[in-house]
Amino acid sequence: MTQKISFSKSRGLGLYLDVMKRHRGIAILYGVAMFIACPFIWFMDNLNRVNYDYSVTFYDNGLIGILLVGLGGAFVISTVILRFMHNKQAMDMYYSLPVKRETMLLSHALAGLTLVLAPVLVNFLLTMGIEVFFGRSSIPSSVWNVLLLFLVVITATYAIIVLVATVVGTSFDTVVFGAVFHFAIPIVVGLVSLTVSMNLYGFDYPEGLTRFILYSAPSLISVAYFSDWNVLLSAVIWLLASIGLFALSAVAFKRRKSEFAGRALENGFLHVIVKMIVSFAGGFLMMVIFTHSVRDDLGFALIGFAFGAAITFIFIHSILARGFKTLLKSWLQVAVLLVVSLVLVLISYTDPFGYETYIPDLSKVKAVSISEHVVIDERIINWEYTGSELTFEGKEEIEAVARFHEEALNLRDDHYGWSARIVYTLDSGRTISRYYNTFSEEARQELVASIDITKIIRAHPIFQAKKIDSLMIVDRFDNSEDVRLDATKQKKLIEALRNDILNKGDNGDAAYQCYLQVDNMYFRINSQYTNTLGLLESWGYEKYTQPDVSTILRACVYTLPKDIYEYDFNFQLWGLLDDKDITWELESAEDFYDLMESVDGIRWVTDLEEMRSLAQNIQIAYNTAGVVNENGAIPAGTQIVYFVKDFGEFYNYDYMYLSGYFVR
Amino acid sequence: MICVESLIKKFDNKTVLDEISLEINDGLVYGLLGSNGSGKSTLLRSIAGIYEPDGGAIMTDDKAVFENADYKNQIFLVSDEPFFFAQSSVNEMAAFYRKFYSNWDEEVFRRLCGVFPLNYSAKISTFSKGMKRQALIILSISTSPKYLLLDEAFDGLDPVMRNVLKSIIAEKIVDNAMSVVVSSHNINEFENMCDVIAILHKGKKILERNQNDQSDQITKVQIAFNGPPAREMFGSFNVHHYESRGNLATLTIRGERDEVESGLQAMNPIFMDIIPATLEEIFLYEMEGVGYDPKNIL
Repeated sequence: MTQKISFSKSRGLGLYLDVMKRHRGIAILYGVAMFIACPFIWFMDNLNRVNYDYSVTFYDNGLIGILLVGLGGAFVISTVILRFMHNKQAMDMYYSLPVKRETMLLSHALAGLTLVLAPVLVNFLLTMGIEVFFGRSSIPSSVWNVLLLFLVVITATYAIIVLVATVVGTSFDTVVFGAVFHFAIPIVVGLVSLTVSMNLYGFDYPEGLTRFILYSAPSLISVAYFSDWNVLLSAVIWLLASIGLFALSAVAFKRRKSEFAGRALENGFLHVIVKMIVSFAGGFLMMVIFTHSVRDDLGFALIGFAFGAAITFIFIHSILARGFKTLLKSWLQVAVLLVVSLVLVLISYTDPFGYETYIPDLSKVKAVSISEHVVIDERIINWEYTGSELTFEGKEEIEAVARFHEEALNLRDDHYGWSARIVYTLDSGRTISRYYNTFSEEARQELVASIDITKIIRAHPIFQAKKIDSLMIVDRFDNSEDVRLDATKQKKLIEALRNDILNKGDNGDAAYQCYLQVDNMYFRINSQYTNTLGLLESWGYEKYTQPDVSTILRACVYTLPKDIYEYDFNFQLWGLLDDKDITWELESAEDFYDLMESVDGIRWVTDLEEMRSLAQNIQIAYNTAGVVNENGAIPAGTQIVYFVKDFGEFYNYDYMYLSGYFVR
Repeated sequence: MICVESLIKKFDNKTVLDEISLEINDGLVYGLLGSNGSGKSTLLRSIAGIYEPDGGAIMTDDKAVFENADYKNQIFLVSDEPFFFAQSSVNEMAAFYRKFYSNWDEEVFRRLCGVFPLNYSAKISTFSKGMKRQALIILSISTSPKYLLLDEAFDGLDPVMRNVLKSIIAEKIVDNAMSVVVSSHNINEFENMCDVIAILHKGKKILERNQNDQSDQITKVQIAFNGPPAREMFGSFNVHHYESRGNLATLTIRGERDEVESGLQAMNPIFMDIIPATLEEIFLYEMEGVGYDPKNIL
């Protein structure tokens, strides 16, 4: 009896080892691919830099390679190892083995997981070893967080495929369904919110929606991680979910009908879900195409969505069902898909619940928040604003924000470029959030006039700064200079900055603007910063507000052919260069001149006097108040001057930069 | 003993096995006969514990066979489409099965390797259909199964190998009381082999016959009298089939052979000859007897 039990237990282990042995070929290929993607290429990269005084760190290159190959490996190896349940002949052999089904599945699944994770671990550690080899004194603890995250992400991806494999009939379906279910939640939630946000004026993404979308797919957690978001909770959840998925797979495999092997189960539950998700995505895309290329109204949105969803449904059904034979039997699925999709489009276009025009009863509003950059005037905008929101609880301030909100509703079809989030907090604790990008400057000025922002301004870090640790002045031509200030000068500069910020003034002219960095936050200094500029000029730094003509080889003038917005402007300018294939292969400044001389609209200036005149008289930049017209566009005819200082370098007339580091 | 009770198996909405009941006793050879699509392979897979019944039960020692690892340790299905791991040899497959079947008999395996002339180190994928079948049979018998299920196992084997296989099976039956369930669409395969034969048709068991049942023997007789015989003359016999030409009558009679012979002798025929009935004839008569047209089934 004892011997029998022992034999029974060893069957699971035997199967586990056997599966690994039989799939060692694909595992080696996968491991080598990962090795090339990460330690090897990265090692060579470092080797090329061996004569430099720095080396790249693993964050720059390799680790993403490990993750990508690991995710691919999870897909491929799981599908290959579990294909036995999709093969009728293999099924005859496996299912007649004296092994319980749970044991059979877990042995296969764990063997595959071992093959997938082992190379991740090995290559990761190898990478760390190379780090040390290239002189890194210690490996930061955050690296091990990355490793754990990778293991969780890859395990979760693998677990999804295992579950899918146990409920479908073919390996092809495993791959298709695995991919769809991996991204199911992000696809559905993302598309629904996009559909709504595209059409509901003022729609604001619920707080944390983007995070939820990224956290809801294992592979996207890593995107969140490398965006410096805290992913600990979602990683723990996915780890637990992976264990749950393996357990669920074991149950599903035990209940799995053996006769499913090799069959496309076109009307199975999962098939219906996959068809719905993919068709919904197809409908959404077609709606976007229709409304953007034909006409943006409800009719075309409905037609586009219905057409796209139907076409996609037929397409995906024919793939999953291996033909059209059962298409007509799926009419109910098509009907449900169309009804759900069309209701969604209808709601987002017609706003039957009054979402767009709703402003809460102000007597029940406890507080209101609005994006910081709207409230704080130009002085603060010159700082690197944090993008946070300011909250007001006073009655007058709440009313002022509500008026600002009403103005936004009136300007629905206009685009002024302002954007802001308004969040009402009601007495009940409920919050109502809206996001607009059509505020007028007049409405903003009116709002600012109603709010006392002195207290807010005094919260700026400059008011906590006690000394300037280092200061670097960078001019518009990329000339930089480290400046050492004694304690007295530091104090004076800090004082000047504080005074300038507290004193209101006009928007600055670009010719006198510069940036100053405080605690790694840059902010722009306008002409209103009379104290600061005066101080700097008294120290002899006025020269940085003007180009040094002696360093300039050539200049050219580009005249805008039409009114153009800032972002289009940038595209247009760089488009000129792209068309001419300006690349790093240019061998001399002469090459650059030859190329640019053939560009329409560019006039080259070679006369030294004219060049000097241009340099001294330029007072404008494309996004300053002096240039932008009432529509927020840079008017046609505006001349933009570029200076070429040296080989291949290309500068537009921009702000002057003054960088500094302050220590509180 | 394996007891199949009112077994129902459906694929989607199609009933593939419809209330099948049968008993497979130890030490016997049970033959399943039927045309393609009659349900033979499905029944064998169900008995092997591969398919879960949709109705009824398959029991052994009062336990259901599905998901019964102890039972599966004693049973082996030689499928009509054998599966081997890609790139594997017979020796490698043997190593695989050795891990899972606690009754694996290495001595038997080595002996059978000597009987069947195969290259046991070569890749099985290079084998012919018959060679693959031989390889799987060697592996199956080496697991020392109590129940051996052979699905169209003789297909692709040459007559010599068929006889070798039959003799090996007979040996295992005698030595180990192994039971064999063998399916085929060709009744001649079962000649002198099966103890019990069942015929499946469209998922139903339409006939089962125990070849060892003395009271249920079929006797084929040619008998002549001085005048033309009338069928009514044989009213005391259980006549299945009757033909007459002139004074000669050909009869198929069910019953114990000695009793039939002595009964006919008592009618003073001028000539009587007991002709051995082939298995095919017996089943043709049997099926006619239960109202089926054999042409549609066998």
